[in-house]
Amino acid sequence: MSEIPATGAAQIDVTTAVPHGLWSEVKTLMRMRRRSVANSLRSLRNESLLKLGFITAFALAFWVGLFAAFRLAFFFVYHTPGFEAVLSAIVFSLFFLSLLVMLVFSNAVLIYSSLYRSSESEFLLTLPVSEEGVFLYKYLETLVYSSWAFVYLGIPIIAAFGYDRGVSWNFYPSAVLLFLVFVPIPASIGSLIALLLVNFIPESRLKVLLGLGAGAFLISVLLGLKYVSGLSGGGSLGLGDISTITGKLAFSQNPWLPSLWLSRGILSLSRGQLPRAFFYLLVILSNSLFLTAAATVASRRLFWHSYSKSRSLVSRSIKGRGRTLSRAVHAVFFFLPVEIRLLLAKDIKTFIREPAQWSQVLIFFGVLWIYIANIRTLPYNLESPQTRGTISLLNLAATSLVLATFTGRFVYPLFSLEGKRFWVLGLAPVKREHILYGKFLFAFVGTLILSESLILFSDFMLGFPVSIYLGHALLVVGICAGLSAIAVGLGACYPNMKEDNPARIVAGFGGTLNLIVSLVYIAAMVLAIAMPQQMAIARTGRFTQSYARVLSAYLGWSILFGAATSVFFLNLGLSRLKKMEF
Amino acid sequence: MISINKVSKYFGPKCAVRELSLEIKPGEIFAFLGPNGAGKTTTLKMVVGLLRPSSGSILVSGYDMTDKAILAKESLSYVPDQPYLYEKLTGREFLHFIADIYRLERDIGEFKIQQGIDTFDLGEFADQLSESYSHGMKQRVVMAAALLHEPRVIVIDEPLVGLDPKSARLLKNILRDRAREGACVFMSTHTLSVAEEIADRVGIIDRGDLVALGTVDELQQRAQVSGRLEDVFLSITEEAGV
Repeated sequence: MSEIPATGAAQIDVTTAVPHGLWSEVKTLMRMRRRSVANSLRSLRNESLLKLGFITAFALAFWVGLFAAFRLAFFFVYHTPGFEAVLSAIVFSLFFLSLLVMLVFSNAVLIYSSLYRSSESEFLLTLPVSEEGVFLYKYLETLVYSSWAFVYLGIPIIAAFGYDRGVSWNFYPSAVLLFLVFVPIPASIGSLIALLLVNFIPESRLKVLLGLGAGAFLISVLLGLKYVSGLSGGGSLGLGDISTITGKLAFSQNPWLPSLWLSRGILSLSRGQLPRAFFYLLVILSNSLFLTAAATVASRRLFWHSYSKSRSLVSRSIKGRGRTLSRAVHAVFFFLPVEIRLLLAKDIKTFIREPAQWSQVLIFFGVLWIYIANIRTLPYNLESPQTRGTISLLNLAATSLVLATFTGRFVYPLFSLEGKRFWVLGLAPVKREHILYGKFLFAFVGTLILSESLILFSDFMLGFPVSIYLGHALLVVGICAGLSAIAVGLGACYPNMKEDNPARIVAGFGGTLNLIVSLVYIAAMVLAIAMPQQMAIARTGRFTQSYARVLSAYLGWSILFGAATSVFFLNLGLSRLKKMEF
Repeated sequence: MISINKVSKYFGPKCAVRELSLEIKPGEIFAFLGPNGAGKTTTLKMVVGLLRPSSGSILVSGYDMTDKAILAKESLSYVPDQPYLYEKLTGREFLHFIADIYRLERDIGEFKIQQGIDTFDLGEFADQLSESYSHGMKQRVVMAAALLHEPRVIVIDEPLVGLDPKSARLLKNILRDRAREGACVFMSTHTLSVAEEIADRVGIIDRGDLVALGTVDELQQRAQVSGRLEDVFLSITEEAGV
């Protein structure tokens, strides 16, 4: 190591260097990001071909599935007499409005965590880069993330639509261009929301506000169900219902909504009305540019102030609050070894103290609770045992899918999140299998409480006999055990100890594998009961007698398959955990 | 170079720094000492423009950090206790990025980057992704980046954490050299021997208040302790705590 030669302080006169404009700053930052992405892509060469092939195959399969589903939907809309003229505009405007709302929300969350919670922001703010430079860089980064997802999901939809309508080839690139020009609108609205909320709402009220937002969302779901419940029952829609639907969904046709401009642009393109499509392209483009400029100007005034404010929060003392919970865990699980109980209490406390985690679970399950509570008012023919059986299976599948997102998002990263703290567990006088069983129990008990209550409530609302209650309850136990074991086992097999962000941990190979295995497992469990149940109902038209045989046959299957899956994945995780170095 | 005028910082109702006034002149190495949670890092973060003072003002190289932050940051370098590097960039690429941010001309940039790589003995590591670096290696790259544009003001939080003895010695020499050339160094540390060894003046902060300020000799006289800085520090902070 050589001593540094004395070159004289401030030898480089920064005041005479090339002047930095906003775009110059952003270009420098983006150049660094490009290099970083290129290095990441280059390091993919070291990944196994099997892993890459697996992810690519899954992405393609997802695309094909989406294409097929939308192909069916467009076929229904365009090939049912009387529907095309009335429904096509409504379907499109409603679809893009939903997408707009989701994108605004996800962009607000993304830009918030990117600006206010990342170490990179802290680093960049110590450099001679303007606040709007940092903001624009983060904004563009968010834009790339959201447009990637938007285009990935949008292409099969557009392809299905174009295929059904028999449009010319230039429809496809033009539609993608409309998509890309549209994406900055929700991104800038989301950014403005994040900047304004952090700047003007005190943190204590921000939590209340987010709680109110979640409440308002659940109420809007309830109102949506009430709207639908006004339609006639019997399983098919009449012309009267179509006019009711169009009347009730007219809000999505408000000319001030950017989603309507996109919807009309796409429809104009498909009908070959190019000047009209070009008009909407310009309307969207000018609004995108205006809103981006507005968000940038707002960041100049608000970003540093709000950043400093977000870092100047005082943490409140929560002394004593965890003791009751610990006592409850020890009392309920008295039969388990003490170290498992301690680990269980730790994971529950960590989960509860992270509102971003349980609030999402609350919203997911809240929507399902509201739906099931209103099931009798919906236009279903509940007199028919066949329909009731089908609805119960759909509820089971929906609950299992929400459970899979829960275990994928929150249980799978549990091992990785131990990360740099893993030495605490590794050195502690705790058997490694107890660490694994602790995490499994945390996931199993949590998912069981959430889903069992929901499924039993669904069966009650559908007026099923006790035998079906029991069958479904048993099935849920099997599904919860299997999903928890898959997430915990694969989480231990593919840990990412360097990452603190659960979203990034889930996005890796192990997370994708966990999602796929969970989906296959749910399909196997639900389909296994669906076919015999529906066949038995169809044969006798009743529940009680026919279901006794199905139930007993299914009991064996559920217990065997659920137990085998759980044991297999827990053993897989355990063998990896025992070899783990830290 | 650094002028802190009656600066206070509140975190909710809690006062982290109270009415702090401090001048650090060109060519001076100033060590900021204090117990955990005393307000050292908060002060440093206000000086580098990460936190906005609740009241008072901070001038760096004559520029107010509140409304002329870019100009102030042009002359400043901040080295945090937890070094930040982009995991998917090599050390050399990171140094290039910093050279671009500080708008160094290409030739000078290349020269300074190579100089930093040689000085901090980054060698073969310079062309490896920084995700593979140890803490000490990251700290060395960050140090090299911090000195790239020859800052007139250097702010360092815990300068020696993670550095091996050879690198620690090198850094102390570099800081002395920079100060001799007219730069001012504002460092926060718990390693009292470093403060004793290289600091021209020492400030002790406790629960947001600057409780002592002066050279090591002056502080020894004030505390009526003739021993090491550690004894002086303990005496003063215990006295302030009473």
